[in-house]
Amino acid sequence: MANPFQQAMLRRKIAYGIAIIALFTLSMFWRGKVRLPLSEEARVVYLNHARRGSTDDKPEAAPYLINRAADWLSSRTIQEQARPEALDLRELEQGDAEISGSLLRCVLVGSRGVATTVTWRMAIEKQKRNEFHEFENLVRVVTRLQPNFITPWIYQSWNIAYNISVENDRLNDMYYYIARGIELLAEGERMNRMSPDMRFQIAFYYQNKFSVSDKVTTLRSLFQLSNVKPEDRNPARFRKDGKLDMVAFQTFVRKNPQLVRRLREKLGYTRPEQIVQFLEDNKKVPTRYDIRNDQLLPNESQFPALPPKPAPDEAGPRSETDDTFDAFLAARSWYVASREFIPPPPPDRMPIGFTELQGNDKFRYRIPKSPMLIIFRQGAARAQSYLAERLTKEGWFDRSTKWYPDERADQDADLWFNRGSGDSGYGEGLQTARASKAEWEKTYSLWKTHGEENGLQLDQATLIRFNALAQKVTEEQAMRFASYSDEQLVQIQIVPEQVKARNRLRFYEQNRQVTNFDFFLNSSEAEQQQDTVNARKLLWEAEQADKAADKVRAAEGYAKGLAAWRQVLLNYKSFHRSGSNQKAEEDTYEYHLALVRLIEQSPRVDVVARNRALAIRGVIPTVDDDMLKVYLSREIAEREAWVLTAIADPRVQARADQILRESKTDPTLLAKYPSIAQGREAIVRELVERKDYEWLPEYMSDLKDETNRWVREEVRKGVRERLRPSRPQPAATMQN
Amino acid sequence: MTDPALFGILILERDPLTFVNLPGLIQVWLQDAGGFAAVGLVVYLLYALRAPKDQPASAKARVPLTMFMLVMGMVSLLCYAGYIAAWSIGYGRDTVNVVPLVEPGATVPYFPPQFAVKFQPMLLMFGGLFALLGIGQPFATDLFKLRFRRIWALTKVGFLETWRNRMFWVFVLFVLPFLFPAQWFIPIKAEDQLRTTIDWSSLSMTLLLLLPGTIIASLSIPDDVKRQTIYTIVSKPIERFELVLGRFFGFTLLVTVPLIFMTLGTWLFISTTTLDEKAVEETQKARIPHRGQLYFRARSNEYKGTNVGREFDYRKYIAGSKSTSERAIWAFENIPAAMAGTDRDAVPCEYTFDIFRLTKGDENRGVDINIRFTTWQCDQVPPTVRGDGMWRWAEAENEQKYKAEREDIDKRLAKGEIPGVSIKSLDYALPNTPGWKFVNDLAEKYGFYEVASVEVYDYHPSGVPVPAGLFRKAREGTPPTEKDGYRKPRVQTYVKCISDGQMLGMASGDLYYMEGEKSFTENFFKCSFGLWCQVTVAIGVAITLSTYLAGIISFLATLFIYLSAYLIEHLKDVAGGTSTGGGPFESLTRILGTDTPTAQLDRTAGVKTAEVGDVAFSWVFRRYVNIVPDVYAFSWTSFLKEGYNINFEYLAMNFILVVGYLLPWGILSYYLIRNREVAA
Repeated sequence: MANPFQQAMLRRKIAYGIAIIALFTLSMFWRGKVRLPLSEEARVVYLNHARRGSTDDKPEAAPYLINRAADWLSSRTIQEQARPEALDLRELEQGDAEISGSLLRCVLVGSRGVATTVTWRMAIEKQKRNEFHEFENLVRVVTRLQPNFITPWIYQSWNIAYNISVENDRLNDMYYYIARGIELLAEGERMNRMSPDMRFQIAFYYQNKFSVSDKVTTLRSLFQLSNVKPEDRNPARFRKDGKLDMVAFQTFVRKNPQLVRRLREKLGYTRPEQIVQFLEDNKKVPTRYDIRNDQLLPNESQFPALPPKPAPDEAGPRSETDDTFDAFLAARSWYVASREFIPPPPPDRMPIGFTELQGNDKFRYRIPKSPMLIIFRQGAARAQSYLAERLTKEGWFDRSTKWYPDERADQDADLWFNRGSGDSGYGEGLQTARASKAEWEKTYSLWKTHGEENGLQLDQATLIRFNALAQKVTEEQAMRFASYSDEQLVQIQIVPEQVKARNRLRFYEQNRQVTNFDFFLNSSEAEQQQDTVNARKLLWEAEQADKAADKVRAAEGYAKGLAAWRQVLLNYKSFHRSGSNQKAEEDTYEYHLALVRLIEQSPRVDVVARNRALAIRGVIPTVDDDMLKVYLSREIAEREAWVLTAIADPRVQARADQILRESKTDPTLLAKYPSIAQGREAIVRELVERKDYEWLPEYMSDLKDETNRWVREEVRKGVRERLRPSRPQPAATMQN
Repeated sequence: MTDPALFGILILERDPLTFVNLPGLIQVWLQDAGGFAAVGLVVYLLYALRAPKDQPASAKARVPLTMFMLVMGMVSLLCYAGYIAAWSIGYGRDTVNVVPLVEPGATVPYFPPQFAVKFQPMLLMFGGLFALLGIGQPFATDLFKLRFRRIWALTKVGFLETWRNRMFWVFVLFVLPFLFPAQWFIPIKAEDQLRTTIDWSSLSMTLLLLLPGTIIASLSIPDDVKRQTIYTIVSKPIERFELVLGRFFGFTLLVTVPLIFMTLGTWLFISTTTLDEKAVEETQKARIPHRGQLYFRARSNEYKGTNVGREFDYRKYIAGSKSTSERAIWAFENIPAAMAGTDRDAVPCEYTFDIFRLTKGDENRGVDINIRFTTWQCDQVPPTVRGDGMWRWAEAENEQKYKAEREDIDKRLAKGEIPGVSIKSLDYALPNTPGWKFVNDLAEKYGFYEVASVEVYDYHPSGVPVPAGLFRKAREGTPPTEKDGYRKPRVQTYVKCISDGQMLGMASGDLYYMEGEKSFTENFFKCSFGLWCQVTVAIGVAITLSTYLAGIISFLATLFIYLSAYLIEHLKDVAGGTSTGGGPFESLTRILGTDTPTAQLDRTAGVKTAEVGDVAFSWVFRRYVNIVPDVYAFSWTSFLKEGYNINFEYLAMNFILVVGYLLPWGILSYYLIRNREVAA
């Protein structure tokens, strides 16, 4: 028999033991490791779904109050709350788990903050010293130390794709770092699946680095190489016995016309050897395919990285790609994916200024940090606009468009195909599966849908109604009462509809302005039309002739093209003058200046200018001959260019034909139009220079008003400033 | 012209230490170590003199006091007193090792110390020397009592004890995967494969060896004391310092074994892994560069290169223009015989430049440069007229002769009059072709060679072959010495940037001649020696501290000292008062006043007080900086990963530095262990 102390000790031990077991068991229930008795999983899941606003079918109700209590408690355990049905807090729900990062964080115990700060600082130092491979390794460590903090992913991926890439002169190096920056962000996105910001930024990098940056021609070509199967572009395929295998080369050109055309026309790789050398130099470009077997790589190893669950019609990691796949399509796919977790457009399709998540939407959606929501939503349409623009600029207009690589070949040695092949006499013509007309149609559709969904396109009746309602409320009042409920407004004797109308009008204007919506919608509407495509084609061909120094053909082409282009401007007035955007006018004037330049260089203009200069010097002997001649040449050419364009106008042509016809029956016309005897061309010129259409060179109609000009003076001035031939050299170069 | 393939890019912020630097290093060592020794000696003497006379012999033996120590102490103090007097009147200042005055935050280039024979540095040196002799006398006397047999036995004990304690091996195995080639785990740019692998393996090896090595060395003696197992050792007839040496050698041996295996393992992985050809071409080699000194000249004598505002101001820039007279000039004082051998046809000249663009330039184009190579017999003079970018020969007659001869050869080549040579101009001549002989002969005759235009890319090294005849000419005779003692360099290389609107940046290490090449394998193992030195230093410091401090405190103190070594640049800034935002007191003032680090502070009483505090603090900091090991002197990773040979001379200097650094710590440990109460 134990003594009393021993008995007390034993009792204490038993009590402690029971307490430990009880607390431990309780913790198992609390953590959700063991389900509470009397609760049922279906009811618990429903409760969690209901907390997030789900309207799932309600399971059979709990039989007793105690079951309901058990269900409620079960839905509040740590594990249940963390599940995707509830608060979605588990690391696995955020995205892919990464074991080396987890290990690193465990090893660092409580020193993660210190390690992150030190590593971040070291990375910056490495960047300053251009030790980029070390910088990249350190960035990898930094991001793994805090994988669910999205700012470092975005900051450092930007750093790599922008700041580091531009430190590389060699464009394949630059491309490598752009790819690494995007890959880093895509990796972060895989670990943070619900971040609209990261998806948006990936899309933006694709769109921005391959559209507006310097050296974009080569970068676009490298991007397309990334999407072509490695065996197809293997330079060894094009060499046989030390010589170029033209058959293999021609197959490659037929298969990848977009890529090859850019290399030839924009980078001047006119010989097949140059194309093959380009493939050789960039053989190890980051790619989507396994270089060993041409199969698609695993999602995380592909470049370009694409959203793992793409929307229908968008590219994903399992999509096969070729040279028609460009960065804008990748961007569009990511933009669409980025909308998955942002709140949908307002159901009433009315303009709104800000979105505040309420109730269960807080679980469903995220508001992106930047840009503002209305701009965020238009990403896909914007990328699509870029795609259509690219195809237009590169000369892929519609299904009938063919590219003749040998069209301007001077000698047989430069030919890529047999001279006799093809139906045009220029050798074989190549087509691509993706052309601008179809893409502009899609662009218009995207912008239109975007506008309708987000209240950017209100019909006239709605606007009148809103204006009528808004009369009673000032702008200041509307802003002040924007957050008031209807009941509150009624209490202070204000009609809620009036406040709403005023605010909607304000947001309507604001949203349209910040997104430049009018311009994008109007331009895509016009660009999708066949007459616009035809005008673009004519102007593009004139440009090509100009580049090939075929001045006569180029001048004719510009004149005809500009005339056709003017018809487009007449037909789509909102495209011609779209809000504050002057692009259509600028394009018009740039083409016009190209025509002026060609005319100015013609010997005829030179002679006329010289004669006039001599005549003027006869009157004013002190005048500088050369300067005067230059000035006069420009003046003559400028006028002549306007006239030539007007001459090609169908209205003038039709009128000339009418005069010719009527002159056979009406002799008075011979007196009215003396040039009838000289033929149709002379009548046309007379009509433009002196008679019925003398306003046409400068104005759209006989209303001689600045706003009625084809190109307003302020736009002309801006274009002339922009195209000024040279900039002064930096002063530093001449210091010593 | 060689193919513009990638070679190594080595940022050479400090030249490796060589035997030439030894006198200067010894002087500085005597000044620094001697300073600490002087303080130690004074404290020791005061303690010994105040000790009671009637204590037992064993106690007296622990604090020996000799006349020699007293005399040395006195002489040393006299030297320091003399130094203070000279310093206060400004007499005999060190004019050789003057730290340049720079703006806060600017990069201070490292120059190895040089031996200064001025009064002040010499007094400091002798003061330190006498102090070291004084404090080291008992140590030196007791050295003769040491026996290798006993030290070896203690070494074995230390080694085996740790060997059997499996913690060390668990640690090693745990991090072993990091030694594998990095491209197995992460995507790496082709040419960076080897660089990244070397970086990772070097970091892993450092951590693998340094941390467990320091932990074991810090804990060993305190653990023995704690467990009282030290009694069994100290009760034996051994010298206590032998215990320290035994532990030191034992642990050094312990880390040496895995270091050898890890080095072998990593080398095996690298050797058996298929590396990208670009990585092999760029980094898997050991170039032997012959480097010169860079300076900048233009029409104006004051020209010293342009600072374009990069944060990392390692490089200076010259402006690009056809009419610029700005040149970056590398002066090579000596030319090794190997470069001028008659069996050599050409010597590659390799260079890496930074391009700072003022205009975006052309797509897929670098910038063009002109390079001119001259010997000391062919002086070049800058133009005198603004806008004239042409440098001319000092001897115009020779220039005319050279041009005439060159034109004549070109004409004959154009007409095909020279049999066996197919090129149409010497511009197209390549080494090991018949045409190159003419290039070589011209260079040897006139001491001049020029590459009219060659394209360079940003941070992408290129190279041009230079006729070996030029170097043969350079080695002829002795270059004259001018009045101010300046001796003309044997060869000079002039670089001009031709492309308008671009700036070309360069530092001294960015251009060199390839003297030869050694094997990558040899270099790989040499690099490990540097790591071994680092670990040895850490073990030495840890053991010394552990003779007095508790184990964990020793470990943390060692770690603190060692980590300080990696922040030495910042510490030097604080110690020298060149830190951005001022010292700790000024920084605190700025934080409290929410002022930015570069803002000008109002001269209030508080700010003035903070500045005085910072001056005092920087004095303390300078003393601390003196005890921090120079770990960067032991780091050869950048040489290895960029494909540059690590000379044996550098490694020998590493060894000398290790011995020099550890000797004062050894003396300290001798006194600490000697006076520690360990016996029962």
